[in-house]
Amino acid sequence: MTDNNRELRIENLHVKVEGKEILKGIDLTVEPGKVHAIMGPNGSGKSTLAYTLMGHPGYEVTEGRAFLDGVDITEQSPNERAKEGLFLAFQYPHSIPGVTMANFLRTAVNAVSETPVSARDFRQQLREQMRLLKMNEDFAGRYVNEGFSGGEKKRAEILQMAMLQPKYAVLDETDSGLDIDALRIVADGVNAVLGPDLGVLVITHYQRLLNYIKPDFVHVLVNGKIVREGGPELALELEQTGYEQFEPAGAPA
Amino acid sequence: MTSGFTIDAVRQLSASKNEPDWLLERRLHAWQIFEDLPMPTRQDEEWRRTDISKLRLNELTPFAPAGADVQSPLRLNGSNGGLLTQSNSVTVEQSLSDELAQQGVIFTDLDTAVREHPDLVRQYLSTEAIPAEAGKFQALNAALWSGGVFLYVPKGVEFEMPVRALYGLTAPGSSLFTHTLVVLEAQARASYIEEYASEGIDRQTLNAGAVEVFLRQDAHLTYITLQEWMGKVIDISTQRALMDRNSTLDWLVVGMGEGLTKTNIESGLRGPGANAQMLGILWGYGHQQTDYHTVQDHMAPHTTSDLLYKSALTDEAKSVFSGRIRVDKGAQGTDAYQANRNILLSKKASAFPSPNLEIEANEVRCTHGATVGKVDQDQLFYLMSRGIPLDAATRIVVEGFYEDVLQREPVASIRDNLRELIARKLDAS
Repeated sequence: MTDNNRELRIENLHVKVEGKEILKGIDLTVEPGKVHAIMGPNGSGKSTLAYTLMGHPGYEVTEGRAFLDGVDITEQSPNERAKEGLFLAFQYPHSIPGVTMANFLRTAVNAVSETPVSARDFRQQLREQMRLLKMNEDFAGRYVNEGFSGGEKKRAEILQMAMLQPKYAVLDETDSGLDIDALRIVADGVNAVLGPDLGVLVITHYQRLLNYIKPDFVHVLVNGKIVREGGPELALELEQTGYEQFEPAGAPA
Repeated sequence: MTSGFTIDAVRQLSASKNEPDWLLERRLHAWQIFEDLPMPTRQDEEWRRTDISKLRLNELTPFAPAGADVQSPLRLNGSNGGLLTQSNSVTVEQSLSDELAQQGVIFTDLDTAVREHPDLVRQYLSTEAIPAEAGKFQALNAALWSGGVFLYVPKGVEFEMPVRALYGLTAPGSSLFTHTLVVLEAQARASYIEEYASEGIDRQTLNAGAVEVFLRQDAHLTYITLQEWMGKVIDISTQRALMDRNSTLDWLVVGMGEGLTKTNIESGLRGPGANAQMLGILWGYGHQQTDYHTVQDHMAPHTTSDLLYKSALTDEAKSVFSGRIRVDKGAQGTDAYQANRNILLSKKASAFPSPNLEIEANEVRCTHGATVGKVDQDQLFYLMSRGIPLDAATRIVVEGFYEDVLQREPVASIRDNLRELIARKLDAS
């Protein structure tokens, strides 16, 4: 594999959900070390893109492909994609009653690692990452997302990202439902994980999150298509102008 | 012992053990009831969803000699407070710690108890808890039981370290009539683990079992009963506890076996203030059929019962649960709860819960609920997105599903053994 292959590449992606076409030809490339932001109004297909990339069975790819470091992941199961190095931070993480965060994370870490991680190393790593995310020690013993506050759920997503060390991470509306303090903690967590090896796709409705996680590129998604691309300044511009300029006249926002 | 079920077999069995006349009479009485009662059919409400027309009683051998060792499903080693191991009703290992023996605890097979403690056994065996009149298979057990377990804890004696028994089955085509009798005198406190296990049995084999529990005033029993019959075993059993004033029963039933299981599980709360916790962890796979009929029988005021049975089912397994709460007219101030949760892992698995309330008192709190659901696809997607393959993800969800029962399971020292057993069963299917 050459260095040229090191990218998450989406080519002409068309996706149907329950028979309705939501994504209508997306082209996007995320390189290691770069932060890309996808911005767009509600219903533009942002979360569809996130779920499709992760391989949710309810999302049907009718055209186009996705490659992770040269590997075609279009037909892969979600766990195979995770093993290739893809991560999705969910907008609405699901709770798994009766399963502790520690057990869940250990199973996940071992599933994506080539070699099993010893219990001792795992515990040490988990403690360290939880400290960075300002999480209480009892967090590891709680059931996955069960009874978590909005902020705890998002921090738990970032904790998972930190533990699994993906090559590419998709953050789906990670800012939704967070107050400013929680947002800062989550953003700090993301920034702590960022580095030259991680490519990030931040999906967000608002510019707010991008004050904390600085994008290198901004893509505007409207009605299933990317309608404009630019640098970080585009996010600030959208904050002023909104998305209406991209909507066809008379169409619902 | 001749083959076949006849009154002569009952006489021979009793004679071979040199049993006292009262016991022979009890067996013959039970045999008469067995003969008089018709074989249950699906016309009977209690048997509506369980078909035993394929049971061929006359092709079974009543008794088999001891066979090879059968492993403890919980992988429990050592004798703990006491250990009793039977193979095909023959006692092969027996011990009781000196400490318990010195306090007057009796833990032995029922045959021995009949010889050494006839008055005690006579007072309780096949009397109030499970009289032969209770039904066809209860009568068959009362007529033909052999081996058995007797646990007796004298007044005020308390122990935490569980005593345990293992009923092993190794003879295909045979029949077992396991019979457990537990008596806790006033203020006694004990912990008892009972396992039923076999290796794969390739021909129709029957256990018609009975468990009779008596808790005297303020007694507290922690009781775990676990079944892992493998192969073509039909188990038709009744387990009934009679509970006096302010007694407590913490009861966990674990069903991990194959084949066909029809079990009646009853708490008779006959003394004011009695309190029963009834828990169930059931795993269904292959062509297994389970039919659990539970009764929370409130006969006295201010009694409480709390039942939580959870079953996960895969392949073509079928689970029937009928849970009855009875509250007598005089049982004012009763608190009774019942929940049955089922999770289906395959298209062909099925669960039929039916709660049933008979309430004659007016100052009671009663709630019941039953659910049947599939594994949540969003939960699976979430786990898989973290790199966990589908089968492991399913396993995690199922283990989590059982976890709240495990958290309430009363013998904390075996909780990890239970988790490992569940993991092993999930791995195997």
